[in-house]
Amino acid sequence: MLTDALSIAIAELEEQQVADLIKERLDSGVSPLEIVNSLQQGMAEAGGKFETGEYFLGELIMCGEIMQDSMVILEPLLSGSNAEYKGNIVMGTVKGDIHDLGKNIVVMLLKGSGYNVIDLGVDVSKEKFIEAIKESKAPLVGMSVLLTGCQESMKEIIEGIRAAGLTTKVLIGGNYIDQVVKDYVGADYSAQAATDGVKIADEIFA
Amino acid sequence: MLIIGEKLNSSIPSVRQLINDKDAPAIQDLALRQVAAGADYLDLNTAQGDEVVNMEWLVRIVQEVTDKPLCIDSTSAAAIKKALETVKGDKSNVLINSISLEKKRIDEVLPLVLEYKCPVVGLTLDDNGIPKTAEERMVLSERLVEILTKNNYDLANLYIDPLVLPQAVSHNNATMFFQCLTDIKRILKVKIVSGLSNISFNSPKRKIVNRHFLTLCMAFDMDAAILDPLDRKIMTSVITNDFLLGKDRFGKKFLKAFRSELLED
Repeated sequence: MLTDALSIAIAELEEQQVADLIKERLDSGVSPLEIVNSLQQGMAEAGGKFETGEYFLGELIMCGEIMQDSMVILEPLLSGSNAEYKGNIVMGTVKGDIHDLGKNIVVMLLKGSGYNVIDLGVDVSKEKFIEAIKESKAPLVGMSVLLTGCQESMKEIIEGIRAAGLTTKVLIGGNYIDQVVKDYVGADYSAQAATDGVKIADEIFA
Repeated sequence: MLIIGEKLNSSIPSVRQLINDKDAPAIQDLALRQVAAGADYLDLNTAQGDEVVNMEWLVRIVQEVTDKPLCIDSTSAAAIKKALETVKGDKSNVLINSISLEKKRIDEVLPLVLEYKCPVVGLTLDDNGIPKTAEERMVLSERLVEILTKNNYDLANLYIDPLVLPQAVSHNNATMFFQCLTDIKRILKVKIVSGLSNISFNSPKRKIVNRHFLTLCMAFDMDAAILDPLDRKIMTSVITNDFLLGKDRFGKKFLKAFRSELLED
């Protein structure tokens, strides 16, 4: 059960209320990171409602937009408050798949949690993943997939990353992802909920 | 779309009885049920009976249970004045229903609208009656806008009611109304309100006719309607139309109504 007014407001999609509360809290000196945390909790609640079928797609997307609009205000303040990012994370939807809704939500949450996210977009090839990991020296790469037919593609990309001698941790996420898929494609972590992604990142960067 | 709940009207025999009996709990229940169903304004009409005395009572007891803005539905300046004096809170929220181009209404009701800076419904009607064509109604609308502008009235508060005539009388009445909607909104850029139900006068299955007429009016960008919010089917149409017309971001209200089991197949 949510108790924080801001968490409740974003979970209930009360756009104006969210904007008002953010302004009010910033004015009274609450740290931007704490505000982002409240927003994240509310977003996780909305995500949970979507998973149980209580919320519909429009509501999940709206929640993401409210979060994005809020981050426009909060992000510049965040980088000011904790001068450095917690670290680099490479993210992308694997080759053959063009779904980005889930990935975008995870990217938003990771950014909100203080990570520098290099978002490669959708339909990302093995080569692009490898190049980005090398360039950013990211300790974590997140791969998103929705289509079951793209499992092979994900396996191939991870094999490619390993063949290139990179030890970056690989987190895979998507609606049908489970332990079996994770083991099959050779990933280190798997997540089904967007919020799990943040927990895993925090573990790795701790 | 703005919804003006029409139930508290003395022309409905059962409601007239409640007003005459001064049955406050029943009236308050009717007010609250309309608010719960999504009314943005509550229309109050006491024309059938001792209008001024009943209006004062009605305003008072409705405001005991809700602070939803009121729509004072009367042709009598005395009743409107009494209502405005009785209203608690922000009197500039009161929607006055209505003025027209009739000399008496301009002379007596308009000064109240200006004094309290209220939103107002303006009927396209003058001392010669209701014009038959869209063009003549446009002329009356222009005249009204001119009068209001001269008095420094904020036109964002004006709702023109181009007056629906029964489809049974002329099969062009609905299309003529859509023409009025289009022209008034395009040329004068003011809002439009309608009472809808006159369209189905003397037709069978009036609710079907009203509902479909409402949907068409909304497609022509009507801003407000006076209707029965307790009629779940018409509210289903309003909510679904707003969703389809892009007036409900991400379908938030539509989905909320679904979960509250307000939508009816």
